[in-house]
Amino acid sequence: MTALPVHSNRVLLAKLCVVVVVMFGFGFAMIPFYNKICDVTGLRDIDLADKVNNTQIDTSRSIRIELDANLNKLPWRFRPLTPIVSVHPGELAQVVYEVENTTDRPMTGQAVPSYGPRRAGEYFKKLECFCFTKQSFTPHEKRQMTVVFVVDPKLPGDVATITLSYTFFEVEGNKT
Amino acid sequence: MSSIPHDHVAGHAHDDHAHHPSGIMRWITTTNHKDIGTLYLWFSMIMFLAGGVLALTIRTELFQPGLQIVDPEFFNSLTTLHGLIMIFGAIMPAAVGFANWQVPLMIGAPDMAFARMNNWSFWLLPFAATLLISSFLVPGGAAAGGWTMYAPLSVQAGMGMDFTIFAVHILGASSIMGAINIITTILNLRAPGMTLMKMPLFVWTWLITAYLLIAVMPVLAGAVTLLLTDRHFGTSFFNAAGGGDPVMFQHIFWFFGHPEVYIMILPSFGIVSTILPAFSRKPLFGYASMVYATGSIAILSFILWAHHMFTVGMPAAGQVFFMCATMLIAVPTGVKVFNWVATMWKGSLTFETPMLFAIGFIFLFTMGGFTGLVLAITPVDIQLQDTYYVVVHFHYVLVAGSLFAFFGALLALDDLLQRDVLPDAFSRPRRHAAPHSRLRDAVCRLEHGRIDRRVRLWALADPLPLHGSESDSIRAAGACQAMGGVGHAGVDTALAGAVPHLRDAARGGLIERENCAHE
Repeated sequence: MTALPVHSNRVLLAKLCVVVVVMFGFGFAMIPFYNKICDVTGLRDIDLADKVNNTQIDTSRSIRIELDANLNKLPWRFRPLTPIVSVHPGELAQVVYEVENTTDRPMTGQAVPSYGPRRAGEYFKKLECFCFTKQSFTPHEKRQMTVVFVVDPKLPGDVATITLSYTFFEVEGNKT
Repeated sequence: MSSIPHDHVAGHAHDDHAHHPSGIMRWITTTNHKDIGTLYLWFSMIMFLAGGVLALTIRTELFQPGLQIVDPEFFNSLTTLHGLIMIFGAIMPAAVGFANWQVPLMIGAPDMAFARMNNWSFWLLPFAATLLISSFLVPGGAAAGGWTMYAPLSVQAGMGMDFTIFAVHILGASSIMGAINIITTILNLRAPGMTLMKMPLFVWTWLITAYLLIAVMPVLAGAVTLLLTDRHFGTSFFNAAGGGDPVMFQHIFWFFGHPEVYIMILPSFGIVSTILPAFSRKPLFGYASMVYATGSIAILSFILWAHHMFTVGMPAAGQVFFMCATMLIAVPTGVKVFNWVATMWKGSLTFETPMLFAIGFIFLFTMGGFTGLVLAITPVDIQLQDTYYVVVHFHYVLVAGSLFAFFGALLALDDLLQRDVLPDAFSRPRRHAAPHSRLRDAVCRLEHGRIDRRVRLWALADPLPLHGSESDSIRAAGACQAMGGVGHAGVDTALAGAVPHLRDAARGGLIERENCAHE
């Protein structure tokens, strides 16, 4: 504190401003950082086909699969052809959804799956799903899309019903 | 203590404003830390009332089940703006106001380090607040997604959200400038001989708070900037359909948000640590441990943000980590509560209003801490997320915590306020009108803590017949001990040596309350 305060004040001001700028950048840097963590831990791998190791069918129990379809602000029609199916754990099953673009313009959307109960998600193995990729539709196109899945036999015994719910979002970048 | 630099020119800085502006221009152009502290406190009071009106409307609506008075959408705006106004408009500016008033006095600085920046950082606030409140008037109404502004709701919301984003930018800039000012003042402008570990605890808590502010306010600015670009410039940071992730907003927000809760409570810790010793007539128990506890809380606050988002989905290892880190916070906080109780232990307690607020703070803040500990337990939190339990928890710590401490400080500093804080129109007849009132006694006692009032007056830069090394010694001693700073033998000796008639005070530690009446 022997130096003139004005000079040391300015030096400290500059240092603290650097901290502020760095922390502002840190806010943005959290995005790639966070994405990296999700990649490493596989938290967000909803668009990859699952691997099935054990295909032994457990016929001793049946799981009721309820299919649900939602649209996020999209003027489409989206529904499962069969709203409820029953499968045995380990059994390969296929369900069909129908989507129709009711607008006069080509549109692209992507479906995001979710599960109820949530913990059932890790036992619900999708081998093929329209949700893995973006789906493009010409005006008024109607299309049937399949989901092929296996319910892992390790599914906890107290889960008798799984709700598979898809929500279609428009991929805004492809808006024309 | 013998080689004190002769910089008492700086000490007279206040007296040099011979032609200062009057009327409203005095307040608009002021660079005086006390004036600016006053502005902050008045602003905070006005915002407190504004946020309080919103809260009253909320409670009126909730008086009966069903819809009575306001629309559901407007109700959501009320809760959102209540939170934003109370946090950024009431609690934070009040803390900065107390810092402006007290930090230079407590460390013996002539003023804040950047006096003009101080003015600017205050005068940004009324504009930001106007912007925030006027968002009620735009089409679509004010932001209604909660004060946390979670995506995707905030990405889809109407124009009110843009007002809120811009207001948060301005409020953040103001806070950052205030924090830089306070850090520079504390690190560069302490009186000679006042080492960091001799600073009053309020100064310590504010130093740490200011560091938290410059570390996390820019992150909030970044988060709302990302929201803004998502809303208007076609980016998809938080838009699932465009490859973004709404949960990421919560991570970035709470990286700011959790240190923010300590930004709001640490200055109150400092205030309570100032009031308690004065009314217990004992030095603060465990000064060093208080400093280290404050520092530990600040560091821990950076690694537990995700306890706000246990329900969004997180690997079990993450849940356990954030649960344990959160519980760890209870350790330094417990040290503080213990020290406060130990400060009162076997003290000569009196229960004037500031002391009542301080004791109320200890009890109710601890309740807030315990409810927080319950919420830290992941499985319990998943049940309690978004319930009134959480609302009660943070109102315990923000109202019964921060606000109680501010009320206590305001009352304890009433004497100062009457000196030159209140505009003339508001001044009440002072001291002679009610010389024996309990409050007056309380103020006297607080100011006396350990030293004579004249030392205190010197610190306030009132004209005093003290010169040269005599005033320097007192300045060092007085600034250190004013408002319950730690007593140190060296300083006491310097004080006693400089002014013989204060020797008793320095030796005895306390001055009889009767001295007060002699002035």
